[in-house]
Amino acid sequence: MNPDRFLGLDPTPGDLRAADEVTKVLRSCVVALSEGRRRVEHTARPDGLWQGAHAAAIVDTLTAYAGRLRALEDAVVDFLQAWQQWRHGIAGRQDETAALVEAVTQLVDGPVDSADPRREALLRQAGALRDRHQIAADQTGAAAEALIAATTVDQEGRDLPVDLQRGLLALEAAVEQWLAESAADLRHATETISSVTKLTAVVPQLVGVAPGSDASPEALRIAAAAPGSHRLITALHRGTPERPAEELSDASFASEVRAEGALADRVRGAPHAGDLEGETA
Amino acid sequence: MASTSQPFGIAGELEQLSGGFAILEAALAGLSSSLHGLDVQDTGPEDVVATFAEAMERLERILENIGSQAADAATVMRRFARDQPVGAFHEDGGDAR
Repeated sequence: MNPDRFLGLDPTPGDLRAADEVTKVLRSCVVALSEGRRRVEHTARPDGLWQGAHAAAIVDTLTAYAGRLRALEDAVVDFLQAWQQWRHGIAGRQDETAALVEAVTQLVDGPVDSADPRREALLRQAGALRDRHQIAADQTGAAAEALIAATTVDQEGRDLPVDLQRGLLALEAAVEQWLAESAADLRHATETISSVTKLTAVVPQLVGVAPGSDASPEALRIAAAAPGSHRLITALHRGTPERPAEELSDASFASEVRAEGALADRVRGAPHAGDLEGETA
Repeated sequence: MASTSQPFGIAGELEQLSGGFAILEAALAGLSSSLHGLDVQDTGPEDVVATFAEAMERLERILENIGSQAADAATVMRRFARDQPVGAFHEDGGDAR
């Protein structure tokens, strides 16, 4: 069908296959932005590991960064919706164009008369159709302008790429600050608690080498008072899979290896320093 | 020992942070070339397709930007994790590093 030939114009230009390709790519963009944004949000979730005063700056910067990604994602979704509407409209209006071409063709098959009022009426319909198509195109163009704006500046009118970069630099600074203030506390607390026999339930949880076990109320009490307490409590409450029984060695009096460490400590269940080192190396 | 559980401990938390940005970067990878390959010239009237093209170009550029920044952030967080004296442990006992 060549509308130009019969109507003197193509009232509804638009390649459906090209439009479908744009839809496909835009959907991929939305999925990718959503997946990436949700991953960043997951890291900063309220029940996550980044808790406490020292980690507040990290959570704040992650949340702000995820917010910027969300705004961009919303802008792409808005444009995608406008684009899908445009694509759907093209198909309907091109059907109307086809019907007009068909009607003109029927006239051409008869006596050719440029002053034929029926032909003029069909051309007027084609003009009106072109105007409707143009209005829809302009609306989609406005949606494209909105997307251009959303990919250029953020909601506060600041340059978006620069703003995103600043957000990540702020995150790096917050992590460095956290390492300086909090990590040392946690290391210190771990070393201190490792010398307390009654907290043997805590140490394996912290270093992650032992099966999960319910911490005693006393362990929780001491952990609550320790530096980096929220982190210790998180570790205490963490459920871990049980180690398969077959990994445990069989008890035997025939062993030639003599156990080291004070007998009293071993009876109480205190791990010998060498035990932990061996497991965590 | 290979492990599929979430790492924890100081370095483990940094590894998780790094992983978040690595996933963001991976999710965006390839989109730039898809957007770059789009031909919108025939998708509508001549006077608006230029705007469509510009929107796609801007989107391509910002996604490329975010992907590249996320890759950098993942590298920095991984470096922080690597510099930690305490390792990144898994809940089931595996060392994450």
